Amino acid sequence: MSGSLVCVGTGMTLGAHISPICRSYIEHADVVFSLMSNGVVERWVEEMHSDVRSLQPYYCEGKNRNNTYNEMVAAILTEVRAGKKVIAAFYGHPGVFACVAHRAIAKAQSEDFPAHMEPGISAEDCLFADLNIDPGKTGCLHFETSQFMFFQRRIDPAAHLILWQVGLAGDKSLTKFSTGKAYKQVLVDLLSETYPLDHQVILYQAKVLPIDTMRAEKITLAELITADIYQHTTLVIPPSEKMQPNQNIVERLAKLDKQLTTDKIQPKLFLVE
Amino acid sequence: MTQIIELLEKMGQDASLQNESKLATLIESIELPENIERAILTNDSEELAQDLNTRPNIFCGVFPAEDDEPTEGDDEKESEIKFLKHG
Repeated sequence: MSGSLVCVGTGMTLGAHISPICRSYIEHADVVFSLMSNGVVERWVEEMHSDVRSLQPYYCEGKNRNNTYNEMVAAILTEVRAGKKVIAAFYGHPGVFACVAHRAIAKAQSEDFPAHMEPGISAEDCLFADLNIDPGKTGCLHFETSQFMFFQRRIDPAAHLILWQVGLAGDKSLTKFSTGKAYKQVLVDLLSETYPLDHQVILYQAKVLPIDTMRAEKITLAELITADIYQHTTLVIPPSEKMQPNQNIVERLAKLDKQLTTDKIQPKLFLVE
Repeated sequence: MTQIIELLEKMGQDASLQNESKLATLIESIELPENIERAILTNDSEELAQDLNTRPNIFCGVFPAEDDEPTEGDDEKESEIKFLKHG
């Protein structure tokens, strides 16, 4: 018996988002690992299979989360190596702002085990639907909040800026479960280099249980410091400026269009002997 | 337990149950503990989680700001080092 791994997404809302193929993989597994964002959702997954093992106990405040993620990968791989048909189920999409599935699949494949990912409906998908945002309209930048703070990134104020895990903003140690006002102040200072402090931003939380209400709280950028922000809160910053035409490129393209039109109008000439 | 989870799943899947009166009719038709029924009808997810005795401390965040996994650039550096060692 050869082991295998499939990482599946259960979507964001219990019952509403899981795809038939993801559910089928869970139901037909030898062993299921689950990493859910809510205890009730975890219980729902446990009822799909007799051997569902939560990855939640690996988390521990004060412990580096990179170690936590590597331990989760090790637990998953142990069963793959034992020849089991392993399914790792993650809330939302298993590969969007989620490193465990990517690491586990890479590790399994490096050891020649078949491994792949099945997508799920992510928090990002819910955000676009709930907030009526089309990321194609003016463009959309996504960053993990702390990474956005640690590295020099280019913000485009004409596009949407979406910052994930804002509740953990500025946690360099990867050991905290939340960060306080002083850390949010640093984030606001960074953002205020591009946006006015009275710019309206949105605190977003997708619906997890069917009885939940989606959160789309509009506040000013300055109010972010004292706002109620949780692990699952996402910060959405709408554009503060209009898109500016790239005149140089527009002119070059116009010249190309003109040249093509001229070439079409002029008949091709042939030498007649 | 199964009955409650099944109900929640159905609520997530059935468009007709997005209507409050139809949901109330369905809930009346099945025998649920009073506290669970109240939690569902008042949309109180914290109460529901407590009543179902689910795991209390759930962490959600599966992405590190700085990855300890080697990046592609690191791989290149590693292979350069190996090449130099063998070269």
